[in-house]
Amino acid sequence: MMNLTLSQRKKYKTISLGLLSWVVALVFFFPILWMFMTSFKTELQAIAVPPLWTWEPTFENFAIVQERSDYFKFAMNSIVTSFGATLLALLIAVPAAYSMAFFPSKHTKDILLWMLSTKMLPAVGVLMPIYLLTKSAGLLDNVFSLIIIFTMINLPIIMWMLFSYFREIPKEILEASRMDGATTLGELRHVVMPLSWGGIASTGLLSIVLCWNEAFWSINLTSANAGTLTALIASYSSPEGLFWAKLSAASTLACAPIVVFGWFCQKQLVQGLTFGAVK
Amino acid sequence: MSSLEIKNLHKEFDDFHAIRGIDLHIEKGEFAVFVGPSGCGKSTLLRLIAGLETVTSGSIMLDDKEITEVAASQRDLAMVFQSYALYPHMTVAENMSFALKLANVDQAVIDKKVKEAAEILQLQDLLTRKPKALSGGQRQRVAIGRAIVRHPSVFLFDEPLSNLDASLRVQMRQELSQLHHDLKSTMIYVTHDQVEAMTLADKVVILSAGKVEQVGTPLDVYYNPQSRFVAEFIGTPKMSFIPVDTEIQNLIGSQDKRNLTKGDCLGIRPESISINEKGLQGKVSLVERLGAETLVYIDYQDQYKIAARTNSLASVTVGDQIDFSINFDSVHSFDQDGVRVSPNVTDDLIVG
Repeated sequence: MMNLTLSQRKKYKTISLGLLSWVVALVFFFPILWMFMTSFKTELQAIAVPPLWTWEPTFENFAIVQERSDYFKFAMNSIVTSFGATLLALLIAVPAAYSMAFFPSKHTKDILLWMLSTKMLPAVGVLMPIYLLTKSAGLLDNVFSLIIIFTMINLPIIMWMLFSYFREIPKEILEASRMDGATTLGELRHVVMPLSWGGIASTGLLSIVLCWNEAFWSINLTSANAGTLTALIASYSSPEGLFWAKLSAASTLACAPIVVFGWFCQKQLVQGLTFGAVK
Repeated sequence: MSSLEIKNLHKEFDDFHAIRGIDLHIEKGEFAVFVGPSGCGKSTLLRLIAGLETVTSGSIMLDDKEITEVAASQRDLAMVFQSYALYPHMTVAENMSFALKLANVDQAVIDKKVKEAAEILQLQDLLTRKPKALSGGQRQRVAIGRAIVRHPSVFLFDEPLSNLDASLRVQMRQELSQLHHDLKSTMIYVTHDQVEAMTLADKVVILSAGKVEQVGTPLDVYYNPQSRFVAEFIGTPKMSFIPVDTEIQNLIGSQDKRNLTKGDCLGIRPESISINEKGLQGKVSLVERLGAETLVYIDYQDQYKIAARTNSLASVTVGDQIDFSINFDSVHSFDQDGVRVSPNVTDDLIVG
């Protein structure tokens, strides 16, 4: 290595860094790959020791999952709750973040920290009051209650993200629009939203993913009617034992839509995030 | 085109009194320039007029209409910002037409006005570009165009040229002057650059620590500074100050009407000094040869620095002991509180 030129050394560095990132990526990805593979095995193949790398794939698990527990109903619930909660949260957070970013008061920072601090409380700590509230409101096993709860638990993070995106917009641009005769609503519509579109979109996507993967509240507050895909997965770990292949099939079905969705949005999001250069 | 009247205006931020009782009248069609050192409140005053800051007390009248509490969006004023503040997601044409669109002006009228403004500012070929594809000078033109299309009551400029390089600044300054001449609108311009103030203004408003120090025409504030602050602020190189002592009193002679007493000080413009003439002695500390003229800085009595403007070929070098004389007729004098004591130069003399 001693006699290498600078450009050679640079090349080795690039190669070894590339290798390292591939290894790390594979380690992260492996459980998902294994889950995907297992969903195409029979229950016996799934628990075989040593694990099987080659086998004849079967679709029977997917058929059983659909037959036993109407996958599309759970998927629809997931879609309704995650998109509904994200939309609601954005409706609340956009004006709130606008006011905090452009008209900060002495306590703006404290409020932001306080909002974040609510995320530090373990969810199970408020399980009892929320369960009882939901019950007395007659909203147990109802997508509506899930939408409200998902909105609440994601609001702090959405607020923080939007706040930081809005903060990147130079204040003078908003002042210029005010001088041009824009009202507060006009300012939001014609200037703030178009300028932070990438930020709002990626915040929305993150919120959708977080809602989609939320399991604690959907398992505890729903059953057959309003259950989401996470509740569906959980239902395959039953007292009669774990059925790995079916559990994997359910999990694969639960992950697939959001992975595909994320894949489609990726390009727009990366573009949106880097395009946002305001100056 | 409107006149503007400001009465006893105050602005306090949490623990900072930024504007301390300003009274000011700006005529219809006048080009008024607010000038002062940084932190003097000139930008704050402009933002108060614009409605971007709330007034603590006092009033602002546009013609006969009180606008103190009117929202910025309803004041019918246009502002050009130091950072241009163009809308990055809109084209040049969209930037310029934004205000008219918000006001629901007919599209045909908008197109016509944008075209007119673009012609005035030579932006015709750039109308479809986004701001990021423009140079600094072009961006500033668009920002001015955005103001022009609206035909506002008053134009407000907040240090619009300070982000441009020196040569472009001079060019844009001349264009602004031409623009005011063509549009004949009321304009208020904030700058810390006294050259901009002197060259553009009909009326110079010199501010210091949130108060108006002096209001006058450019030549008036140059020839008749009413305080030591104004005297020092206007003019490059700065006016030099020396205290009145026996030697000076003897030189001035007893006929002088000013009745100078010890403790007063003399303010001397660089052009009031003649070097290599009998009078006072000093040591040359710096020579700046600018081509058309040479600036000579003289240490007087080891503690006062005096700047002299002389012809370009004057043979002086740093370290020389030289004689210099002062033209006492054109010297200003100030008392211990910095207030002018010498009589004003009359207007006809300034013009002459």
